[in-house]
Amino acid sequence: MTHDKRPNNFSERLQRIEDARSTREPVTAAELGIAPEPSPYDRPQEDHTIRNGLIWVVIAVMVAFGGYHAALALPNDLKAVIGLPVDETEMVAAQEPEPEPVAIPEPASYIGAFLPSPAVASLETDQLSLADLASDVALPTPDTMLGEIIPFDRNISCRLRRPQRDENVVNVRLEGGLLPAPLQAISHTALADRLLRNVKAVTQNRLPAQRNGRVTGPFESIDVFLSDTSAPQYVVLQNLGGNILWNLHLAPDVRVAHVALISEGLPAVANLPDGATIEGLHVSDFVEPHRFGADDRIRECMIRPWRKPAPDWVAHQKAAEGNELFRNQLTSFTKGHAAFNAWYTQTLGVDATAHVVAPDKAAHVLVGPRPRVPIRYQPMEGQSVHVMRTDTIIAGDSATRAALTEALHQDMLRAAIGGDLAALDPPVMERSLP
Amino acid sequence: MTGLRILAFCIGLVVILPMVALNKWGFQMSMWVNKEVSRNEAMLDGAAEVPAATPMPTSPLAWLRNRSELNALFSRDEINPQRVVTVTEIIDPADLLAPGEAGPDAVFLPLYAEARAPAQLSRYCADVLSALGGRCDVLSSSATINREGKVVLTGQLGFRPDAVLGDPSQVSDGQVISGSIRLPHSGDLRPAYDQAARVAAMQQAQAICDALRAEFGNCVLTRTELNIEELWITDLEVLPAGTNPQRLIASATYKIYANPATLDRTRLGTRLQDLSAGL
Repeated sequence: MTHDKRPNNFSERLQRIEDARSTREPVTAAELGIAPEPSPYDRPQEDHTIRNGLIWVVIAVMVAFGGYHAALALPNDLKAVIGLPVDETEMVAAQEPEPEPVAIPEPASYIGAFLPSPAVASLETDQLSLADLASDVALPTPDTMLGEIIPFDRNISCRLRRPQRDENVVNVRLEGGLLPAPLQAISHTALADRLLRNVKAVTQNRLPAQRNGRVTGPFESIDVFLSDTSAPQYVVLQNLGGNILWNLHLAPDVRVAHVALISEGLPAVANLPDGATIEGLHVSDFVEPHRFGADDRIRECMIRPWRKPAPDWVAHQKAAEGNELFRNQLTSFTKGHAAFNAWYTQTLGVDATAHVVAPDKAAHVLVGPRPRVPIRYQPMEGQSVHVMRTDTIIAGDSATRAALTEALHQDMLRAAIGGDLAALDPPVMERSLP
Repeated sequence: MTGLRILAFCIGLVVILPMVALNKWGFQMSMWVNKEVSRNEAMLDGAAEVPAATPMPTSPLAWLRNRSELNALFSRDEINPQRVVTVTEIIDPADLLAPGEAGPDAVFLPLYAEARAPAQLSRYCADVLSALGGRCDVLSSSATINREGKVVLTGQLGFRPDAVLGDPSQVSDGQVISGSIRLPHSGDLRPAYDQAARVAAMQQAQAICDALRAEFGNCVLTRTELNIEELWITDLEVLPAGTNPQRLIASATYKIYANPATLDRTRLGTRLQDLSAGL
């Protein structure tokens, strides 16, 4: 390849070759009128300081980040070998009890209305507020002092008292309440299970004895306003969640004939009207803990109170969008409700959806028509509470309940050990010198 | 600039080489798994020629793990889970209680058993101190209720060994080779699960380890299991009255740090059989 752009005349080329081979001074490119080809090394350097700097900063950050985490991940003995500080917090951190999970309030529910106070769940088309419904409101707090605790025995069969002809069966069916309840219930089974887990943490894994915390058996509470004066009320209160305390508030002239409770946890009722009878079914006495598909079959004593899915549930929309999780959840609700309804209808003679108020969770529920005059609120303070019987029921302010709960655990643990906690880790034995 | 390029190259090497090594190891593992699957399939098919089992490829980072394990294994200064004696006790629930103490509700029995297991099992440290070590501690314990309603307590006792363990630093290109053996007993009937039999079993286990150490330079008795076999009532009928129905089944596990060219699991197993037969 040549850069000689002169006419390609053969004789001239020969002459030029001859000239080049002669002793004459070589003809320079300038003499020939050819612009010299600049060397790449002679070109001025482009300045990429910022670009290169950024690249090296990124590399340095990556190396530093990777190196730091690699050093952290090294086993302690290797750290000791190469002189890095040994991470003694690793073991300590593993032994520290996990912090109690922080309850994050749900802004909404996928499975029905989520109605914290002052919203009221009802069959009314308008959204009611507590102020529309009740007067002299004094909501319960964790420190509200209850009156007498009256335990009642759970039904040993999955039957409920049959409603009389003149009685009106009304329903509340939900997951749980959204008001505090100054009440706790702890069964021996739950206490033994939790203490066993705590003891195993020590005896099998050398972890702190209180790693798995305490059984507290807390209750939630919910206000139930009854306003139907047309007939004696047969009130069926059902929940699918934990322990629940139903606080009844009656409009003038409302007559409550009977209260039937169906609960997965322990149910309790405050402000039970004089003359009203009460009975309760504990779901786990008759139905196994729920597994997907387990409640699909209609059978005797299928008393788990599933709610019938409503079209306004978010879960419905999600399922319609193809979300398999929600589709499965709705299947559980739909089939579970069908099986529950079969038992319910057979037992009470009415459909389970009749007069039912069925939010997901609520603080206040109105059963019956909206009252013309606000219903006088019945505070829990000093009121007798009927509670389904269990081994230990604790009432009182928060501090008292916490102290009693702790004492219950400590006493039981000491009794089980047969002495002090130190016996869980006996001292090292050494051979005595001769 | 040249210096920076060399530095970048070196950093790249540092980052990439472990990945290359681990990838190569991963590939070897895949090949090994395929080979083992073929071997198992051949065995299931009853093929005449069964390919020989090949040792599992060792991770290039195994030395990180082995170093701490090795240190703990050969450390004679501390009690650690690398050397344990496993003991079992089967008792009536009433035997958990102090004299005059009321028994718990049935729901609390598993809790009582679990909570009292460490103190109950720490008594077996006396056996360990007689046979194997100068210090003994209950490392872990557990309790279950068996079908007969009896409490079965199981514990792992760690100990600081009396025996010289040998010097693994003399071994080049070594690996930890482990092997187990059921300890022998004389006569048709296993020995009763009493202190004398337990101590004798632990001494047997240690004697085998001593012989292995003489041969290979080091040996650690890592696990001595003292289990209970309960005789059936039909067995007891033909035995003298008062025969202890709880009989001792003892086994021992050993670890030796050796060059695989000198010792492998098969050879260790054979040596253990020979030494056991010679007791």
